[in-house]
Amino acid sequence: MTKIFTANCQGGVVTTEGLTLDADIVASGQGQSSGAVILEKDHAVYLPNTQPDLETTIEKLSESLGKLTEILAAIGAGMTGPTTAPPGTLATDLAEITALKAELDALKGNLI
Amino acid sequence: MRVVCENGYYRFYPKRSSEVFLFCDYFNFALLRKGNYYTFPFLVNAPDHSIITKPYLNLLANALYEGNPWEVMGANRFVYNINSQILVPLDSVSTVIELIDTGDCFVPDVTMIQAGSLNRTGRRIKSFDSFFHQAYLQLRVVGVEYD
Repeated sequence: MTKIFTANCQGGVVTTEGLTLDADIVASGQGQSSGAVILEKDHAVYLPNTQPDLETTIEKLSESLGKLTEILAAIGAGMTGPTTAPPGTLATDLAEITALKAELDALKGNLI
Repeated sequence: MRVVCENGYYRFYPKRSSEVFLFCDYFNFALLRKGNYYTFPFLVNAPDHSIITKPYLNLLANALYEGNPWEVMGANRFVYNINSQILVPLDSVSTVIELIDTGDCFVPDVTMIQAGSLNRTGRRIKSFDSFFHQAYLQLRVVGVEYD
């Protein structure tokens, strides 16, 4: 017999119905998450729902790729003559990609 | 009728339905059917899991456990009190009984053993397996498990 409960985890503490459970957490990160606890006899395991993290990761990657596409398009549009000057928006565009990378790195650190 | 008490959870297995009626009439309490056995009304809806500090029937659970109700009660050290008809902590039972060895079974000096009772040497009975002989109105114990 096995019981399954919906549960939440924050800071390494698993709770269900407002009660704290002593459960093994199948995750490496410490971010807040929702998921399920599987209880068999006296052993409980918390399984986080990783769908939200996956969605966020994909969104950030998509934004990064979109920005890279714009940069490359701008570079390509400026390659019409002997000039070696970069596009005027290059510095700003690179800063945006750097910010997106930082967000992904932060997300990785909080991965559940 | 076979009477099994496992970790303070009582289960009754009659061979004939009349046994239940006679048993309840003699002891003046009710039994309700649950699956293939009968039990006390208070235990019929005993949950199959407990979470620490969450109410388990009338007590607050002190163990995280899932399983049959008697397994959950065992993990929490709760027993059903026949007189008060609620759960009590196993260690709170202070009844002392004697099991008389007849050669092929043990006969207690009470008509029904309260789970958690102590024997003369101070060992606490947490489970037992028995048959209730209705002709003699006597419980005949064939197995005992101590805490």
